[in-house]
Amino acid sequence: MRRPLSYYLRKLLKWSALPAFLLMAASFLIVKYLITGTNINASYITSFLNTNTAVICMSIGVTAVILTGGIDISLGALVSLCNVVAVQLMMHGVHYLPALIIVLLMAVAAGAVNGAVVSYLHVPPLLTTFATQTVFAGLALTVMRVPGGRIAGECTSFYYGKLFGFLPPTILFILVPVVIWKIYRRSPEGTRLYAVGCDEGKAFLSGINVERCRMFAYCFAGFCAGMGAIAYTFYVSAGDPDLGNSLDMRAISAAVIGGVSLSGGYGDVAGGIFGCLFFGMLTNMIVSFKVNVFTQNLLEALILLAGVLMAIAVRNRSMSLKGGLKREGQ
Amino acid sequence: MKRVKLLSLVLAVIAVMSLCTGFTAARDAEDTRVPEGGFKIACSTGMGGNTWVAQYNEDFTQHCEEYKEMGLVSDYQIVNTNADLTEQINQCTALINSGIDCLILWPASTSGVQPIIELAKANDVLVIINNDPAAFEGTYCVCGNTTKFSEILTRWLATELDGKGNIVRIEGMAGNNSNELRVPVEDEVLAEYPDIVTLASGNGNYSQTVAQEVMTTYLSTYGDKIDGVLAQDVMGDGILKAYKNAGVTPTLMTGDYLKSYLKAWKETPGLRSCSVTYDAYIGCTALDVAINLLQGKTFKDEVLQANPADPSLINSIVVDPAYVVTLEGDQDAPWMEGLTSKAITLDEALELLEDKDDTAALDGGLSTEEVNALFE
Repeated sequence: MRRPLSYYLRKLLKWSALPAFLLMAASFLIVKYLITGTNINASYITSFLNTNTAVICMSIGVTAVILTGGIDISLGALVSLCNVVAVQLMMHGVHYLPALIIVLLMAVAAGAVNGAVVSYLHVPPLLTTFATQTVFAGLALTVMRVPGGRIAGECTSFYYGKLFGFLPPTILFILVPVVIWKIYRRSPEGTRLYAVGCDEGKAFLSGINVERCRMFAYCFAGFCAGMGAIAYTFYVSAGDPDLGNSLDMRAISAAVIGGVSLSGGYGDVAGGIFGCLFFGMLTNMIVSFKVNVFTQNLLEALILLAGVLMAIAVRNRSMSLKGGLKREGQ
Repeated sequence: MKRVKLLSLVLAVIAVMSLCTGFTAARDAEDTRVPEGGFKIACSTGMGGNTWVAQYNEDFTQHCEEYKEMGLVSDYQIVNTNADLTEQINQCTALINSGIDCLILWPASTSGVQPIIELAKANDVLVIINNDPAAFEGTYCVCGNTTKFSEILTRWLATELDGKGNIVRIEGMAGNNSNELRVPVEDEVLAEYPDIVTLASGNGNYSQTVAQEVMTTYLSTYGDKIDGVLAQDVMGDGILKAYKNAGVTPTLMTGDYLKSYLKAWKETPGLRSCSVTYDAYIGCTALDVAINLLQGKTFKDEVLQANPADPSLINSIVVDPAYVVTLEGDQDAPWMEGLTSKAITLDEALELLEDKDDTAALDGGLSTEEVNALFE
């Protein structure tokens, strides 16, 4: 049966990632049409994706955590830790494949630690991940005190090469977490995860294993941070114990701009991805506008604030369209 | 819903593909980059939000305006990021893409800016690494002599202590490149004085507030056992506040070059201190070097020095601190040996900053003529 156009319009308006998608599209169009001298071509887009892959991966991971009503501010430090461990392993003669597997396992284990403390010891997520952030940052500094080192040439060649002759390999680092998330999301466990974020008490009374849902979210966030760290390591080809320090808030902000509710239970990873792309384009826009250095931060903050307000307004509208508190996962 | 998402994604792909086409030909036509009215200069700083960076930006802006009047610079732009490598790469990509001739790069990560360097090389953009030394083939590095900075302060303190006593140390930020270059130098100098005991060492993160917290802890733990304080720069005011709050009069500490600290030092009777400038003018020196290189000039033999981050790479201009401030301003003091720095008294330092705000830093460096003299 053919549905009327209004049906699709309503569906589109309910899409949690819509504000971030619009912001991203608008920023691309502004850079393309309103700013002269910006040469947007395939190489520009590849370079843009290469730069922002780590934060996109983190945003996917942190979205899963936020959907359960939690938060993870340790992912940036975890990216730093994974980066220096990967570089040190390769510098000490470990082949890059086992080195990368070790790094991914370590990232998942770090996520599991966060998940276990939050789920089973009932320590608030902010406090838990603040503590582990310090631990990961300290470990990163222990593993590598000063930025430096080199990774295996094969890794760099792979990252700067092309898949099937035209695709930037960085797409892989984004696709793997997205596919895992989509599979999980479509399973009954995915629906349960949203239910935990909507109302933990009701979810528990409904027989949902709340702890297991949370454990998955934190482990998945760790995995995404590991993927992001590997992508970033391939990109910069070296180690830096402070590499991921500034990425936490960027990933969380991107998720919020992407329509994810900080109280949990509403949103999707697509929003976080678009949010990250918007962030990257915003930086380009500010640079291209040639704003005075002393007012750059102010302008960037104002545009971000507008973006967040827009995201919240559209989300509220979308939630009311869905009927009160009914959430996407229900 | 699935169809709507699919439709949106298809639209996004079409939009992106349309962005990919149509621009290349137009750019190729104007890719000769012959400067009309001067060169296009960009500067990206890896840190923001403190007074030192503000002064760096002001100095750089003023110097660019001077070159603009001379017709050597047609356009310039400064961008800041606060140790956010991703943001810096995004910024620099946009700058390089806008057709600049030179990028003066204060790296947010000294090992992580490789993609920027590669992109700049691919676009024939001259890269001058500035302030925080980083070693990359095909670039030049213009930075302050950060190891001498540490050596002067440590040697001064050790001399004042007559080689014995208890000190506490407040370092910069763990993992920060300058910090990691300075701390080993401090250790090395202190090793020459085995009777100087370090009671405690912590990070002040180049923040007055954090330094104040650390010093407050030291004062409550060690009290009058502390004979002297060895601290890096931009934290002196915080340390003095910790002393004031604890009701203790400081007697011996290394300070910094901000006017607020120098004034507080002047107003603290009995305090012996030493300030070594870590000059924000270093950005202007990098600009002078860039203008010469862009004009096709070459360095004289023996001018380039080993890169502080990788001594095997000879691509650096390392500038000594402009001023060393003590109560006496002794140019012949042992810590001044082999330096081009000028020793001045506290009163002379305050006179140099007379018309400036309290947040201003004592600042200096190589003049344009001195930089020009480095070239054939």
